[in-house]
Amino acid sequence: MNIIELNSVGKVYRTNTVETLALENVNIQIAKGEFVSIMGPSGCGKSTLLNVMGLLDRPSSGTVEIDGKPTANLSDKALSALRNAKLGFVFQSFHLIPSLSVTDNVELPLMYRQGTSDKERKARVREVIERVGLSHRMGHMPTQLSGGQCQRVAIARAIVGNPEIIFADEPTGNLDSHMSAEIMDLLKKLNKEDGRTIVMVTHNELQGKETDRIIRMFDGHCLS
Amino acid sequence: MKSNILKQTLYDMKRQPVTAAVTLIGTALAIFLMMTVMMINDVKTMPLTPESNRDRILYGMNMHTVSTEDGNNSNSSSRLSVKSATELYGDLEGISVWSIYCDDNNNIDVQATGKTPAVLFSRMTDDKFWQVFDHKFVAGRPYDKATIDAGDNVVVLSEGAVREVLECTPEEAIGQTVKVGQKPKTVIGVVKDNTPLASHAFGEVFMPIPKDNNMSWDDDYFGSVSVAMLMEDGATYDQIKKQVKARYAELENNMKATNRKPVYHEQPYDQLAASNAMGSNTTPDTESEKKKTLMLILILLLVPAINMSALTQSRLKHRTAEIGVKRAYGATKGRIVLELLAENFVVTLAGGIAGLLLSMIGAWLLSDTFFAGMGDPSNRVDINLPINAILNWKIFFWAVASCFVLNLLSAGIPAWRASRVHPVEALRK
Ligand SMILES: Nc1ncnc2c1ncn2[C@@H]1O[C@H](COP(=O)(O)OP(=O)(O)OP(=O)(O)O)[C@@H](O)[C@H]1O
Ligand SMILES: [Mg+2]
Repeated sequence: MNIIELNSVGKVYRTNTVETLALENVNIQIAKGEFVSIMGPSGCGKSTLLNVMGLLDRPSSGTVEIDGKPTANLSDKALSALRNAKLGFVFQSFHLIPSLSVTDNVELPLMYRQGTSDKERKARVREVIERVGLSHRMGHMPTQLSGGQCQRVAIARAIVGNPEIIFADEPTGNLDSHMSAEIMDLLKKLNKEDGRTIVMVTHNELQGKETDRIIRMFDGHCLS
Repeated sequence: MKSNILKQTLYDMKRQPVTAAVTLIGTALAIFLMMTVMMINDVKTMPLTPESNRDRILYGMNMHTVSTEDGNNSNSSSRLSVKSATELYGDLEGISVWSIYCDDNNNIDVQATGKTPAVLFSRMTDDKFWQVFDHKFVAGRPYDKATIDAGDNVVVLSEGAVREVLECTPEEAIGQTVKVGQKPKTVIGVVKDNTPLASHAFGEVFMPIPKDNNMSWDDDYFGSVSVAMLMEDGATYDQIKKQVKARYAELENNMKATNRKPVYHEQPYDQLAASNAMGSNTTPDTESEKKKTLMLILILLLVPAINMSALTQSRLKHRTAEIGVKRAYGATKGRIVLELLAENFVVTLAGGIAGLLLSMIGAWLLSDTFFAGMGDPSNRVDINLPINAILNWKIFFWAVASCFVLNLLSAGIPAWRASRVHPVEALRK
């Protein structure tokens, strides 16, 4: 079964003067456990596509199904709950909360989830921080970390809620090649060992080749 | 979560110290002003020794009559005489004890032999006065009915009066003679210095109303006394009022021959009405007083809130990305609003506590200025503020409640707006 299914998805951005067709008739199926990369020139709609799949944005037309369930009629509250339960996000600029320590940043998704005890949360946070190899940096603040470390914290935050899908928008875009390789290894591990589905936007052909499948985009269309 | 709120608040304040300081000071000032208004308002009705029974005390204060003749608009009003006080308020059902006394303080010369005279506040009362009000005797005793009936020339002084006039201890004062308005009187009791905020009971010199003296200036119903009475447990204000209204009807009947009739002004008054009683020929308007205070409080909160709202708005601008992340990870809009309000409440509460402390310390140290003119228009005597006037649960509750309202007013709209930002837009930052 497909864990993500997009049918004739279109996205139009309207401002007062211009109308941008960011996505047009996009049909995509992604199977559970797949590691897919999305590639294409700047401005072709990769981030828009990721945001629509990640339920952060609603399509202007077409349907998005997650785990076989249509999402069009879900309220903002229901979408929030669904994101919390099933989706994880990694951003190019990390987006760690500067006022919170590594531990508190990682714990964040669990704060928006009912029914986990303080103890369970703390144990889970420790576990995922170990997983990304940052046990020795638990109490640090984001400003005290390198870019690669920040992104590893962000990945820990993305998996702490045990989501089925991880969306990563140019996760290595702000990192040097050495750190990029580390992050790619980590993502592959999460895909292979935990069976998580990963959808990643990248400009790096080599990274794309390391994934199961490349979806190529051009001007709001999918080429393959 | 709670610890995150604190961490984020502190971080935010450190990052924008000027904004934080302005917010804190603004809040402190708003709560300071608000609590000052509250305290000044509160002392009018809260129990204050020697008016500890304010919640069950009633006052028959004035007499007002008009002519019944056509074309005659004559209007008379003043305090009561002993006769009218007794006819209107004597031995009502549901009243445990009632006292006839002069509600107005009179300045009087008091002098001990060989010493300089002092001008002090004096009050003439009956013996029940000491039961309705709980003056604390530090030496001697109050005058009782037997003393009054015997026509003894006695006086009760306050500690301060003793100090000023006799320059001795309360114990040494008992039995000494002082001239009160040229008449020699024996000191039989000394009471603790009391606060003029308890304006019905306050005094420095207390003397008995002589036996069989009507205290009247028209030899009839008008005079210089009032009535204070204590309701029994279970008695209701309405029940007492109804009886007094009936007595007014009786009085109207009795007065027919004089071609005058009394005007009923909803007496007796409870503490609130009495504190709002403006003249002897009007009915106190407690509702409009309440509204005025409410409006004042609202303005005191609203004006700083509007200013701080702009500050909050600019503070939240820096946090758009963070809100986007939280939304992506499942925080609902409502949750974002709650978190931001909670964070802001920490700041408001900190400022509010500072403001409350400031108002308490201010009221305590500057009580003569704070409560100027209340109960003592001449501002001569010390306010002697009882500590419970500023340190009580009600004040504390209202301070916290005001912080809560101030928080909603100053952060509500900014937080709401911040929560509406589209997560994709927020994350682009
Ligand atoms: N909020 C918006 N309003 C108007 N136009 C937008 C908005 N967001 C994106 N667009 C437009 O939609 C198109 C697709 O944008 P998108 O960000 O998805 O591109 P991208 O493939 O992720 O580019 P990049 O590789 O530079 O990140 C672009 O032409 C962009 O200008
Ligand atoms: Mg992009």
